[in-house]
Amino acid sequence: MSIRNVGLILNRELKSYFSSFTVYIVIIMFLLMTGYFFYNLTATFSIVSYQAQSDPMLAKQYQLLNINETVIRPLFGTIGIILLMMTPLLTMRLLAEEKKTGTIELLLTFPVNDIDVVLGKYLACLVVVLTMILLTVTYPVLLVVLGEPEVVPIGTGYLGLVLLGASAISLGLFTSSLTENQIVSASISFAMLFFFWLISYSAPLVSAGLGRFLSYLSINEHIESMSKGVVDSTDIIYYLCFIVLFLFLTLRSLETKRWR
Amino acid sequence: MKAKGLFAPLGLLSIFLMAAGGITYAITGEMGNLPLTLIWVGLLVLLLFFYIFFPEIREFITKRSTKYAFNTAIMSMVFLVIIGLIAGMSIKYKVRVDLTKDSRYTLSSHTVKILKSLKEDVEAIAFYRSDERTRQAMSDLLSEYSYHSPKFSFRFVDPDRDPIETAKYEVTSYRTTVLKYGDKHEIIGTESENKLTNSLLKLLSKDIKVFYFVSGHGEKSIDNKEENGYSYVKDAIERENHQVRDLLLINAEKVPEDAAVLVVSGPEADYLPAELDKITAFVKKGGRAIFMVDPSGGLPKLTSYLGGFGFELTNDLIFDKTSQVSGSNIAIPVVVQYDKNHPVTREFEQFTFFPFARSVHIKEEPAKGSFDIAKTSDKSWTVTSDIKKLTREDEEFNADKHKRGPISVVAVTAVEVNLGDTKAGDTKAGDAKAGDAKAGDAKAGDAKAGDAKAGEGQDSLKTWGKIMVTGDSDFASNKFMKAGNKDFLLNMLNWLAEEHVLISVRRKEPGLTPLLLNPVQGKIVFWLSVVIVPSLLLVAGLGVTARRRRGA
Repeated sequence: MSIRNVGLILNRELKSYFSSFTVYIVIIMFLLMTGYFFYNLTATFSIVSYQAQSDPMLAKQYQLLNINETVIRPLFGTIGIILLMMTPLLTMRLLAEEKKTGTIELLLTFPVNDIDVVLGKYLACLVVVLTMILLTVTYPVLLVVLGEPEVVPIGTGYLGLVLLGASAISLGLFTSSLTENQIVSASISFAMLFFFWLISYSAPLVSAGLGRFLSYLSINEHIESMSKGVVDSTDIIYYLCFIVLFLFLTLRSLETKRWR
Repeated sequence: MKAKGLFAPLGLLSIFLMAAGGITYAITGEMGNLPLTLIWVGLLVLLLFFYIFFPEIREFITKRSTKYAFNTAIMSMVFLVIIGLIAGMSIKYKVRVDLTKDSRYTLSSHTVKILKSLKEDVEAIAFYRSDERTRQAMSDLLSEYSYHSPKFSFRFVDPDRDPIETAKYEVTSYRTTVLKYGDKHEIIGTESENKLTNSLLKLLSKDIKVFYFVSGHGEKSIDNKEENGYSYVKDAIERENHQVRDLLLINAEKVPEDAAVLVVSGPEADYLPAELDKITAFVKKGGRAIFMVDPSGGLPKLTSYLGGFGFELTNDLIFDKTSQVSGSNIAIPVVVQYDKNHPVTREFEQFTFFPFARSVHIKEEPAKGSFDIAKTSDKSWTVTSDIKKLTREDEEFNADKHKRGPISVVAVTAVEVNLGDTKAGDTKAGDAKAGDAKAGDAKAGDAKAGDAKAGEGQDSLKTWGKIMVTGDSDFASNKFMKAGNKDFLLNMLNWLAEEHVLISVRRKEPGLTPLLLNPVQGKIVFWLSVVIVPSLLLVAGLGVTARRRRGA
C-alpha cells in the first residue's frame, strides 16, 4: 500500500464528487429530512415543556423533560436511519461506474495496488459522509444556545454516527464492486443495510441465545449506547470489524477481475 | 454430445427438487414422506448429473479460474472466522464508559453484585404499549441488568396486542414489569433500579412474611369479596409470596412472634386497653403496625393511643375540588404530594384516592423517623366529620370555617424499643437511631446499601418499631384497590415488612432541562435547520456546477 497513491485516488474521487451536482442533491435531501425531524422533535419537546408547567405529574415522568433523552437521542437514531438510506446513493458509482466505462482495467493496470484503489475511494466517500454529518452539528449548537443539553453524550452520539456511516460505506463499496450497474449496486446495498438494520427485530421471536446474536449483528443496535452517552468497546469493535470485513471482501471482489 | 446436452437440465432439476423438499419441510414443520422423497430424488438426480457430466466437471474443477475462485472463497471464509473471533472476544472482554453527567446508565455496585451472583435464569417481562413514553427508560434499565448477567433476560409485551400473555400474569395496567424467577414472580410498577433490585432480592429470598389483620372491631375483612372488602389486598400480598392471617387480638396472648406487620384496617368499634397494650408490646419489640382509621369520630381510645406516639387524628373529613376534575366526587380527595425524603414515597408518582378520609398529621422530625408522607392538593379543605352537621356551604371552601389543603392523610413514625426488652437494644441503640430513625433519609439508606455486613444492619433495625397511620381504610378496599392505590398500599406494607432486606439505591434520572421556545425562537429553529442550511448548500452546488460549465 502506498499512502501517496491512496492520496491521489482520494483527491481524484473528491474532485469527482464535489464537481457533480448529484452529491449536493443527496446532501440537501439528507439535511432536509434530518432538519425536519430535528424541528419536529424540538417543537414537540417545547410543547411538552409548556404543558409540564401546569401539569406536575407530566413533569415527573421519567426522562420526559430531559432534552438529551427526548430530543437528541431520538434525533441520532433518525439521522442514523436516514444515513443508511443515503449512503448507497453515494457508494453506488464508486466501482460500478469504473466497471461500466471500462476505466477499472486502466486503474488496475496502473502501478497502484487494489488496496490503494479501495482505500482511496473509501476515504473519499467517507469525507462526503463526514461533511453530511458535520452539517447536522447546527442542530445541537441550536439546542446548546436555546437550552441546557449535556454536551458529552452529543459527542459520543456523533462518534456513533461516524462509525455507522463508515460501516455503511464499506458495505456500499463492496456491492459497487460486484456489478457494473449502479442501480443494482444501490439496490443490493439498500437491501443489505436494511437487513443489518432490521435483523434485531427478529430477536424476540427466537431463542434467547440466537436473539442476542441477532441483536449483536444489527447495525443500529450498536449506535444506541453511544447516542445516550455510553461508549462500549464492543460497539466500536463491531463497527471496525464490519468496515474491515467489507473492505476485505471488496478487495477479493476486485481480485476476481484479474482471473475471470 | 447432442444427446448429452439433453441431460443438461438435470443439474437445475436436482437443485429444484432439493429446494422443494426443504421448503415443504419448512412449511409443514415435519420431515414427512413428501419432503424426504423430494430431497432423495433430488440427490439421485444430482448424482446422475455428476455421472453424465463427470469429464466436464473435472475440467471445470481443474480450470485456473476455478482454483482462484476456490482460493478466494476459502480466504474469505478464514477472514470471516477471524473477524467472528475478534467480535466474540470483544463481547467477552469489554470496557464500558458511561459519560453522562450523573452516570445514570451505570448500575450501583450492589445491584451488579446481585446480578453477578445469579445462579438461575431471571426473566423480566415489561408490559408497555409500543408508544408508551417511558418504555425507553425501562428498556435502558433492563438492558443494563442483562448487560451484567447472561442469566438476566428481558422482553417487552404490548398489552393491547397480546392480551393473553397480559392476563397470564394478571397485569392490569400499562407500565408494569413482571420479574420471573422459577415459579415465583414479582410485579414492578416504575422504571427504577431501586424497585427492580429490591424485587430481585425479594425473589431470591426464601423469606416468607406473615401479615396479621386484626379483627373483632368491625375491621375490613380480608375474606370479604364485596366492594368494601379486603380480599384484593389479601390476593395482592399473597401474590408477593407472603401470607395473610386474621388475628383476633382479644383472644391472643400477644401479637404472634412471626408477625411481620400488624394491620388495623378501619375498625368501627374501639379497642380495649388490653389489646392496645399487646400492640404496644409488639411495636416496642421492633414490630411494625399500620393503622387505617376512618373519620367515624367514635374511636377515642384508639385515636388517643395513636396520639401517644405523636399522631394527630382530627375529627374531620377532607373535601377536594381536584377530585371533581378527575371525574370523582368532592369527598374523595386525591393525593398528589408525596414526601421525597421517605423510602415509601421517594419514587412514588401516581395519583391515589382516599374516599371519606380524615387528616392525619405528625410533627415532622426526620431524625426520629416522623414524616407526613402523603398530602392532598392545595384545592382541598377539611370540614367536620359529623355528616349530620354538614351543610351545602361546606361544599365550597370558606376561609373562616375551613382549613385549607394540602392536608396530610398518611403519617409515619419510628418507635424506640424498650431497652430492657431486648439485648440488641442495649448494644445497638446508637446505631439503630442513626440507621432506622432516619429511615427516610437517602444518605442513611445508601449507607445501609453499601454495608456488606447486612446482618449487622438487620440487628440494629430490629431495635426500632414503626407505626404508620392513614386517615382512611376505604382506599384499600376492593372498590379502590387499583393502580395508584394498590401500588401505594403495597409500598407501605413492603416497607414496613422488609426494610431490613431491601437496599436503597440513589435514584439516577436525567435532570429536568425543559426548553421553552417563544414563537421567534421556534421559527429560528425551523428556518435554520429546514431552510437556511440546505439552501446554502444548494447555492454552493449551483455555483460549482455553473463554474464547471463555464470551465468546460
